[in-house]
Parts: sequence; C-alpha cells; structure tokens
Amino acid sequence: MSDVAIHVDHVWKKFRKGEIHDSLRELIPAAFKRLTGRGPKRSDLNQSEFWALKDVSFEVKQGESLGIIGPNGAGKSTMLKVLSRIMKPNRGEYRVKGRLSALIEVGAGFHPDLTGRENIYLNGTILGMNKAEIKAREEEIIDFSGVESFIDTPVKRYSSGMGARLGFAIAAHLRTDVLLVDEVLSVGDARFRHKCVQHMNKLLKSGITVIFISHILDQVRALCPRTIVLDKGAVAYNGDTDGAIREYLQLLGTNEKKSTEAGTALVDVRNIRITALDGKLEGEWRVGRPGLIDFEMVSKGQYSADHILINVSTISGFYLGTFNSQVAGPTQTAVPGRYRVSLRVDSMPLADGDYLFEILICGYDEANGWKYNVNWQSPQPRVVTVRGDVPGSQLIEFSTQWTICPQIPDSKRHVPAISNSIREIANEC
Amino acid sequence: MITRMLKEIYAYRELMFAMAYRDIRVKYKQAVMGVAWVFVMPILAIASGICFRIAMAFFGGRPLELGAITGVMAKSIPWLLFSGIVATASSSILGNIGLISKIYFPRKIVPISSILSTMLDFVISGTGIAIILLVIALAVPTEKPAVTISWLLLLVPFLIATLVVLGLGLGLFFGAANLFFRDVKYIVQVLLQYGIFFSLVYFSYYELGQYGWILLVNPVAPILEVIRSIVVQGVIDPTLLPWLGYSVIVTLLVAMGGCWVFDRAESLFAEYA
Repeated sequence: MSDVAIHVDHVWKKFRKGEIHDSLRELIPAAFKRLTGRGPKRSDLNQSEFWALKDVSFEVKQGESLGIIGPNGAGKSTMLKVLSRIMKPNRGEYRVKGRLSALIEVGAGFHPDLTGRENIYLNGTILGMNKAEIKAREEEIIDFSGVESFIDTPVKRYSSGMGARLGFAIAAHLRTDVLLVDEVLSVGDARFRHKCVQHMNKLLKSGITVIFISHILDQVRALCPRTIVLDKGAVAYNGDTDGAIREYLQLLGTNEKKSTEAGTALVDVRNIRITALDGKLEGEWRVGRPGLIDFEMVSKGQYSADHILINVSTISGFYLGTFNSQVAGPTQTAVPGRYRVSLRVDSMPLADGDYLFEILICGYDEANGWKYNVNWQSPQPRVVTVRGDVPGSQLIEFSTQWTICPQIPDSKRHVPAISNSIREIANEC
Repeated sequence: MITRMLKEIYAYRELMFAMAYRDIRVKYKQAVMGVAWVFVMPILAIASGICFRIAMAFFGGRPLELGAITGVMAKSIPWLLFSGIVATASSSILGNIGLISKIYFPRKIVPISSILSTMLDFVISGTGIAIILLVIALAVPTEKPAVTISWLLLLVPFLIATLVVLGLGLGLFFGAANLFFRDVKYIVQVLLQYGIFFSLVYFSYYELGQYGWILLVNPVAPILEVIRSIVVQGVIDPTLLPWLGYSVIVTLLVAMGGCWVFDRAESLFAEYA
C-alpha cells in the first residue's frame, strides 16, 4: 500500500441543475438547517440534482501517470477539483500522499496590472511555493516561458499566448509529488506545446505522479500507459491507454447514434471488416503491407449511392485522407438490394498507431441533391491499429532507401554530363 | 476550530502577504493620486464631521469647542478602519472567485489578506492624525481639555484591535454570504454608508439627550466613545465602562460566529462561484 500515491474510494459528487435557489425566503431556513446539520442529508439526491461523479474508485501508484478521458460533461474536471480539495465529495473518500499541485487553468490568479515577474511570485505563492523556492526557479521559469523581454511589463499587455506560456511555466516548475493536469498542454503554439510535453516527460522521469486530462488523445497516449474513461460520472474503463481510447471512441459513437433519428437509413452498412492480408488480427495492419476493407451495403433504392468515401483520420480527429470510390466510377447501386464492397489497399502508408476509418456513402437524388453519409445507421468510425517497427509520434512511414558513401575528391571526380541520370551518379560511389 | 484556523493561516502566511502586497501594489499603480489617496478619505470624513459640529454649535447657540473637533478626529479614523475592513472583507471572496474555483488554499486567507491593505492605510493616516493631535496638545492652549496625554492612551491600540476583530468577524460572515446571495454587498454598502451616524462618530451619546444610550447598543459606538474620552479628556467615562465590556463580548461572539459560518461554508465556495 505504501507505493500508492492517490487512492480514490467510492467518491460521489452531486451538482444542482438549473438555478441554484429560487427565493431568499425559501433558502435562508434551508441554508440554516444545512449549516446546523439538520434537514435533509447532504449525501442524498433530490429532484433538481444529479451525480457528477458516481461511485468513482481508482488508485494511482507512485511515479505512475494516469490519463483520464471521456466525453464532455463526464466528470473529469470535477474529479480533479475533488482531488485538489477545491470541492468536497458528498460521499466516499480519497487519499493523496505528498504535496499535490493542480494545473487546472494556467494563469488563474494573474493580476493584469502586475508585471510578469511580480506575477511569478504571486502565482507561485498561490500554487504553494515559498519565496526562496520561487527565487531559485525564477530564471528557469522565465527561460521556459520565452517571454524574457516582456518580463517587467504588466501582464495585461501580453498576448494571450504569452500569458498562457508564463502561467504554464510557473505551474510546471512547482516542486510537487503529485501533479494534476487538466487540458493545459494545449496552450501556446506548436513548438511550445512540444516543449510542454517534453517537460511533462521529464517530470515523469523524475518520479512524480501525474493525472492527466486531455481531449488530445495522442498526448494522453504519449504520456500515460494507463487511462481511465469516465462516462456520465462513472468509470467506464480502467486499463491500458489503447483500450481506453477505443472505449472512448465507442462511447462517442453510441452517444451520437442515440441523438440521430432511428429508422431513417436509406443505405445500411453492415459487417465491416478491416483486415490485413497477411495478418491474423482484425483491425490490425502492418506498416507498408497490403490490407482489405470490406463491408456489406444494403440499398433501399431511394438514393443512388453514387460513391463511397472512407475518411482516415488520427484518433484525435486530424484528417489525413480519403479512399474515394469515384476513381472507379459511379457505384450504380440504385437498384434496391445487397451489395458487397471491397477495397484493397496495396500498401499501408500510415505509421504505428491508431487511426479512425469512417465509411460515408454519398448519395444523390432529384429532390435533395447531394447528400453525404446516407448510411445513418452506422456513423461510428472504426478504429484501425497499425503496427510498425518504429513506435512514435509520426503519422506516415516513408518507404525509403538510404545510400551513404564516401565523397570522391573533386579532382578525381568525373563530372557527369547534364543528360546523366541520377542513377549514374549513384553508381559512381 | 480557532487553533486550527490560526494554524492554517500561519502555514499559508506567505500567500497572505503576497496577496496583500498585490492589493497594495494594484491600488497605487495607475492611480492619479497615488499614495495621497490614503489621506483623502480621512480628510473628507473629518471635514464633514467638523461641518456637523459647526452646525450643532450654531443651533445650540454655543461656541464650537476644540475638544469637539479633536473628538471627531479621534473617532473618524478608527471608524474608517472598521468600515474599510467590513467592506473589503465582504467583497473579497467574490473578488477572488477566479482563484477560489481553480486553486486550493484555505479560503480564510482571502478576507484576512484583503484587510491588510486597509490596515496599512490606517497606520499611515492614524500616524498623521496622532501627530496633529500631539501638536494641538502641546501648542494650543484651551480652557477645556481638547487633547490630554495620559497613560490611558496605551489602551487605544487594544481598542483598535477590538474594532479590527469585530470588522473581520462581520467581514467573514458577509463575505461568505455574498457568494450565496449576491445582494449582500448592497446591504453591506447601505449599512456602512449610514452606519457612521449610528456609531456616534460625529457626536457623543450624551449629546443625544435622555435616550442617547440606545446608540451604544451598536457595539462599535462604545469603543469609539471610549477612544474619544481617553484622547480628549484623558479618562474613561464611567458610564461607558459597562458598555465597553458589552462591546468586547459582542465582538468575541461576532468573531466566533463569523469564523464558524465561514468555516462551514468555505467548502461550497467553488460550487456557487
């Protein structure tokens, strides 16, 4: 038990819906009753309330980094607010070992009229450092934030990116045992974001425990081996990050499905299978190897399913490209019935990682014109895992051949004529 | 409860001073009058008090006594301290709500640090008034005493401290309440605006005739009156002694009540933000 840094035991937290109170006349007696501990118990739910956290339990080991993902309103931030003691749970308890700091909103507590340097001291103190600690880190913080030349300028004259960078720099240099990070690694430009992720990795190596909340799934995967999926306040998944991401995407899919009208599908897509031709596992593909996407399409005839698109994006939603059936001409599926669609991909250009494949059937009719995605029954993207020898953050694995050879001295070198091909130059060495 | 609170405050003392420093810096940065601002409120308060005394003297058909003016001086500054503390502490929680909903620290730090800048103002203006009163005591000869230097003056800091505790107790209570009912700040504003007339700042209880003692029920009034009787006459008016005891008891009750309410309510602050 000694290596457990955070222990959350059946935590419940409720919030109110709608306006907090109706009238002063009702509330004063109610508040008085609550303050004196009489009246309805605080841990029970009444009509106007809902559970933001429902029986949440988990543990984080010392030095571990845990990701928390989930749809909007799943209770992620509430969980962090409970852990950082900003809010009290209604039921259950939790223990945190050591000093805890929360990176909930960078730059909270900045005063616009004070200079950057003054704000470092103010914000550092608010975050729990003492003067000597801040002084020791001051240069490092300024250096990391990259706002050296404006450090003695009031923060109100900063660009929003500069403010966020300074805020992150202060918070990231806290001396702490447990760090809670909520969606703050998305501040600043791409270069600064990269620096933030690197810094987080450095912190992790130094042995601190991290809980990391983000919608940027790539970041979660890069930083956390284990991830919890929260849905509607409850833990829906607790395990390795790849599985968590799959669970999360499935949740997004099912939540979306419920909101669309049922029974309006004009074209139905079934039995989607994505298989590597030389692989055994469905949905797993090897870099540079061929694969097959096939599915059954049931057309009801109202639409001419003109062409099929399979959009490919990263798990965080960055669009990469499309397999478009238009290159093979119209699908000619206006006659109601079943069709079998099969697409062979000769070589998988994507690098090691998880990708989303989304099948869209594009239809056309006289009354409505073009309609994308007429297959409303299955709008949920498939997760395809690509496995390669180079795990990492790259998206594409180039198929290449390197040639490195000693340079021939100029005097001895035969200068090729302009008509010589590259191949000939390569042959020289 | 009290020892736990004091421990928390001590543990977070650096934060308390950092926030107070922020308040002070911000107050005088980008202000037309800068530090001169500290003197504006006391001068206005004393000037209106003097007008009041002149009017009273005129209707009473009596000459204006210097003792009346020094009395107004001695009472105005502590009153400003008290009302400043209540006002800043009451609005402090809502004013720092961005911090409170984002970062954890003992919330008592907020009202307590907010009053430090008000107290600094008091130290500056109080020193000014003390010098003026000293000059009057040494240089201006009068038939009736206007300023009397006595050992009792050593009691004045304790009386001021009582006012601070009373103000902070009310501030803690109103500060917490302000978050749940946003109209509390208007109530506080109105109370402080007219409170000056119900706290015997510009006149004394005996000048209000037979029922003047009713105003001594306001716990601020006996403290101010005792300060006046010490500064002006160098004695403690015996009528005021039981009332002073009453004030001290009320102060302790208010302070404990304020702490208790604040302590119970503070875990809910982030939810009502």
